[in-house]
Amino acid sequence: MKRRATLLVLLAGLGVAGAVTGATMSRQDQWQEIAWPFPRDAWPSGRAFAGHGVQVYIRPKLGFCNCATGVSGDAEVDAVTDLDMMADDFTPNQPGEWVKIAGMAGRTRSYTLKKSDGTQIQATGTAISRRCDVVVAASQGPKAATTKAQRAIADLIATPRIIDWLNTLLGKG
Amino acid sequence: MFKIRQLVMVATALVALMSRPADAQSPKIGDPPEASNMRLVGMSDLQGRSAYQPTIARQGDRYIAYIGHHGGTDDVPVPMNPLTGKPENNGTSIVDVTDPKNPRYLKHLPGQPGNYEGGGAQMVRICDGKMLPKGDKSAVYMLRTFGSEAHEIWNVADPANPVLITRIAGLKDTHKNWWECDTGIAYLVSGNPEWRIRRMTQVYDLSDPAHPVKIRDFGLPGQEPGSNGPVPTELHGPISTGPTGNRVFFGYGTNKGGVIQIVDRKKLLEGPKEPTAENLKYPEISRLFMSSLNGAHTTYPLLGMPIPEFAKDKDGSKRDILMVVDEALVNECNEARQMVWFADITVENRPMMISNYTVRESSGDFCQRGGRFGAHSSNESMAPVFYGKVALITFFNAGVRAIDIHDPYNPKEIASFIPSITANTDKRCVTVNGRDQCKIAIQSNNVETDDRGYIYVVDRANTGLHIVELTGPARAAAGQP
Repeated sequence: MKRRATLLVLLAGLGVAGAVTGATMSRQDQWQEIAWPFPRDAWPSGRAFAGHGVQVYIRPKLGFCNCATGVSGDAEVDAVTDLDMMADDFTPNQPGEWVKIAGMAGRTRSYTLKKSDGTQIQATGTAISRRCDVVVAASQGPKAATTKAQRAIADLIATPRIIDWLNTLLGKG
Repeated sequence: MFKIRQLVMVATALVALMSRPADAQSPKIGDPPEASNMRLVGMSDLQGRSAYQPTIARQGDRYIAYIGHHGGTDDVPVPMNPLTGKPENNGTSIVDVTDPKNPRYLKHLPGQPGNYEGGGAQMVRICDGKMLPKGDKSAVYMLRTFGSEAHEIWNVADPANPVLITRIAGLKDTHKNWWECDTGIAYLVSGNPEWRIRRMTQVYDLSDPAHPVKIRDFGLPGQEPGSNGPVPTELHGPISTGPTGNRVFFGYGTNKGGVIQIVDRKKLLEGPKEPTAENLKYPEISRLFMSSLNGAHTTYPLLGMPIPEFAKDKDGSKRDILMVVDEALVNECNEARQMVWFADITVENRPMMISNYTVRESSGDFCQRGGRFGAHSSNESMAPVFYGKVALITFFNAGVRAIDIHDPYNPKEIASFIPSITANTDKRCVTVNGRDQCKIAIQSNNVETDDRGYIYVVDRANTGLHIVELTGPARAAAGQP
């Protein structure tokens, strides 16, 4: 009994030490889940995260993709990636790029958002598809358009916690 | 002891059966159709092809049904045409329904190769050459989509031997168009690759079908080339009241973000045509934003409706109504309910939803039956036999429903018909725990009526064409003998 209590204290200590070490390394380079910040719209709320100098909002949209062609081009990225939740006005920075994340193919594109107060902020929209469904990730923040942030977002989508969640909603496969 | 064990086993089996309402409701080959105040008159298997739009034309003393098809399926990508003995890509079925008890399959006109919405020739409209201002008076013209890439016009005066007249190609995502037979103006639903959405309107003058003249591109401001910011919901389809009514009703969205747009037809045709936000706004009278949870698949005008309840009112006893039908898009209720809405558009710049209609899910455990459950489309014929009295709505696995719309503030279901499945009926699947769970279910997709009062229901899951008629009190509600 005494040995078990000692082990628990030791494990707890290791956990705290690990957390402290992680925090001192860089909180910026970790994803922290935050509350979904947008009001209800056509689709159920998704999951939101902050980290890497951006906030990212991920959600699946069932039945919102051409089953035969998948995500077909930049116009589709403009339309489906929830940029309208973040600002009434957005302008693409450049043509998008093809991406493949966790086996799902699609496109990602960077934008400049113009907020209602006139301020501008960088953003990205990513749309990837599985069969007739699409998964979208919209991000905003000073580093949103950087390759590093986009890679971090792709890595986040590919983590087991997000994939398991998507599988539950989309059906695995 | 043995008897007690047997009793326990029987009771267990009964409990198991009773706790599986979905399976209990699953249709089986050989089951009779489920009908209430509707009766099956005749059917055609349409060669086992997935069907979209039926259009019924009276050609002399014959009635001909033209039925657009989606592409093939994974299991049967190129179905056999028994008339030619060859496999053919799904296109257009042409069926003589003069005797609705014995429909006679005349011709299959192949469409674009490809499966599901990636092929076929979904949409079809018919105009008699005698009506079109510059048409060949001896011709009957069929306007159809060719898969997603073109619109075609054929002469179907001899419906068993159609002749291609012209082709408007280089497009994408063609879909549910509208053609005014008295003027030839056509509102073609297409995707112009330069626009920001899959589908928008291309207005053409097809009064001389051999020489199409493009009038303009049209859509919601923000969809045009070069615009930025949010992209408004894409078009599904328009219905025009022609030069007399001078209105075009556009429905945007299928199952999400529905927008209804009321447009001045004359301004649309004669106004500035360059696709700028200002020019796109110019012909618009008003826009009604629906809940984001619903779309606008069909916008069917019911103008000048006398409302019984308002009969003694000094003002507003007649109303202009727009019936708006959503489209269910996702199998087994994995979305918000898609249904039928009625908007009072009497005051055009202040349209307002006034009522709705849906099939009760519990009346048939429809979320468990397989495939889609929810509204898809309405009849679009404005022949007096049903206009303003009874509307026909397809509800996928809940078949076709007849609604009494004499009082559109209080629509009431008066009849229904769910066809029997056949060996052709295709499966519909959802993925659960990584595995496809598939069920066989009717998917009544589109419906049209003729001026005799026959109702033509076609199935998206390859079950074919069912010709039905109203009976009993439903028939009386339509004023049919």
